[in-house]
Amino acid sequence: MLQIIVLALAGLVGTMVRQIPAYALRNNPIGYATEIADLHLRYDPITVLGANIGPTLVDVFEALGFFRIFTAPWFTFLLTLLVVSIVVCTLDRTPRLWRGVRQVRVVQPAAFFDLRLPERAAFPAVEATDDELASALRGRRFKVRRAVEAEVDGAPIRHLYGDRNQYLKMATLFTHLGLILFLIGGGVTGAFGYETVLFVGEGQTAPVQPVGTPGNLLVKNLGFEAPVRPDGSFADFRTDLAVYRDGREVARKTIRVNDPLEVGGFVFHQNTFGAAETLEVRDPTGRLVWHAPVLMDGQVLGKPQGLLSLPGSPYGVFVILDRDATGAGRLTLVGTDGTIDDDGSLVPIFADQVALGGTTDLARTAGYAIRWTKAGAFTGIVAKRDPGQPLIWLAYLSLISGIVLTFYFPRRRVWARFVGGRLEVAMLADRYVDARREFGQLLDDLARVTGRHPEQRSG
Amino acid sequence: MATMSFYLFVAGGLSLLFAFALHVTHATILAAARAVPTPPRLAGAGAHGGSITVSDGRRPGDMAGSFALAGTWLAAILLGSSMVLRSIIVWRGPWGNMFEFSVAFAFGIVVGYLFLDRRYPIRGLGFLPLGAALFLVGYAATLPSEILPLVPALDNAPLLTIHVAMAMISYGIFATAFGAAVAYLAQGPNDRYAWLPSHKVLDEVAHRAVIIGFPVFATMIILGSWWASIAWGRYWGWDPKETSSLVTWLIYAVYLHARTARGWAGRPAALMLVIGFAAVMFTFFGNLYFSGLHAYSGLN
Repeated sequence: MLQIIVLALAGLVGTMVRQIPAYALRNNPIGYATEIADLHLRYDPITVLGANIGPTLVDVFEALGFFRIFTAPWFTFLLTLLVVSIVVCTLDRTPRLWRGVRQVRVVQPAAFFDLRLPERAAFPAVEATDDELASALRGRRFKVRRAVEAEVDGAPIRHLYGDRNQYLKMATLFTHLGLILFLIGGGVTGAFGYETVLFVGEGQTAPVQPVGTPGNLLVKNLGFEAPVRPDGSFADFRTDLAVYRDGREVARKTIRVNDPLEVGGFVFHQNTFGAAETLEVRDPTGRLVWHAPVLMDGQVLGKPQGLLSLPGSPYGVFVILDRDATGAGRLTLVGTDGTIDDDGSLVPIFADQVALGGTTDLARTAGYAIRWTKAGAFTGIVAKRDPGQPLIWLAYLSLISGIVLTFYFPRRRVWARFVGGRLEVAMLADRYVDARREFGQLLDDLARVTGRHPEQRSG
Repeated sequence: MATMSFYLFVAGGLSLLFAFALHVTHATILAAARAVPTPPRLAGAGAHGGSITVSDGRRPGDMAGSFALAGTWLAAILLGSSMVLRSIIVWRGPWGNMFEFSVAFAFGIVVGYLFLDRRYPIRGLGFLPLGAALFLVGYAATLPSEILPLVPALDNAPLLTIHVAMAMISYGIFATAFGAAVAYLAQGPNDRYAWLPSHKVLDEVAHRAVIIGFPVFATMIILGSWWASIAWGRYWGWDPKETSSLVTWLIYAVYLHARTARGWAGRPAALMLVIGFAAVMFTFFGNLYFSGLHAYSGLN
């Protein structure tokens, strides 16, 4: 229980403290630095009793893994420890649980029917037969067994035993199994799954797995749309997506946020989008070297930024989307050959700005004519293969069925004992049962069968 | 129809206010008279169909209690009708923004309380869950109530309807568990107040509420996970809403274990329910304050 409390507390911290997004933790030093800077921006102003503790707090939290709790080794350790505890607890309990379910005791001693105990009652001078009483118990869905004890004062002591939901007591194992399967499923996903985000400009293709992977799939963005409502909110995000294997189209579908495409063991989800500006580039000889969208999948000072490597040249061009004084779109193009100055900054070779439809000044862009031909968008597709997912669903099924069976189909047991003309009744039930109420209802039934009212009642 | 729905919401809110005031009056009369609460007659039970002795006469506060119950039923019917009309307009569960979530949550609390009130003598503490419901209705009244199209991420009518409905049912029933837990803490093991139900009854009410809400809450999380795998490509992403839901579920799981564990039963278990409901409220309102994918409040 303590472990669950600790995990709950860790989860609470993970909810309240901003978590570094996954992309920044995947070999992405720039993304990581950006996120840490954002955390400083957010938490640095924190002061306690006039002392500014924010910067130190960020460093300490980062050292403790509080900004990445759910991927922190200690959180994984706690989860693993919980699984081990559940497994050990389950293994320890199972034999006892099984014995308790299998070994029923039809005959109980007289002390068991002591009316001072809860859920005990007795009917005097009962003339009803065993069959009538057994029928009353069956009417309440008890499975009935009988036994006859040795005679006392010339009359046998007859016993009836009713058991309802006898084997469902074991359902608690499903709950525990579910928790274990859930974590195993997560492990399988982590070890054998594959997930990537593909940014694809309109008309472009992208490989799903690294180039050279056997049977690799290619996706092609045949068109992306993000229609906007009159109030400015997005009505939809949809990509006309084609998937190819070995040069042959194997699937095509317009995917939406809630409507992915499943093919070849992969599921393709509409995930994000961003600006993609189509550029036409001619080298100093006038030869066309590029005519395609440049994905603006980065950011510089909060503005969308992309990078274009000019084919056949040593130049790379940073493309930054901005607006001019009139609010019209404007691209800033900064060329570099990778030279770094003494400060460690990239040395720009050329720079110019163009409006949509415009071409750069050749004299300012090393003889390259760069024309902005179209403003558009790229689509972001999550491609995922998750062999752990069936286990996760099985885990959920096991967990929920265990919980439902435990709470809604708990075990109840009833013992009835005839001594002479007297009928004694006792009931035991799991803690999830409103036992007093059910016992009362059972007594109603027995009162009808016997034509008597209980002589005394407990509880 | 949208206007009619809004009028029904307003009427439901006023009824709830009325019911809350009468519950407070009922509790005050009981407390002043040091009266024992009148247990309800158990539905479907015969002469022995229950362990609680049926009252044989009117007691102080009975009339206020009856009116309080009638007001609560009226509030439930009016709020429910308001939601039904909105459902007909949008052809899905009417829970696409914070106004709708808040109304549904309040409705869940009212229905949860009414359900448990039929079986247990809890009218004396009814002002606690109804107070929470009234707060939510009051909060909803401050929010924009116009019907807007869903954001693309929510545009899955069947899952939206079932997933959020389960959240509201479980949140609602947990509110009564919270009320019973607060009363339990006040009552103590020596049954300090004659007008409140005994600590045993309060413990039973709270437990009954949790075992109803707990599987529903678990199913809600699972359905949400399924939906996330369809919409976002992952069934679990430690999003603040997801995490706080899981933490809430864990708190109730701890409660269910605690109630039967030596040293945890009684007061610590009741405290766990108070913490649990705080977690419910945190889960409900948390997306307003923490970034994440569950930012559908419709508020800027």
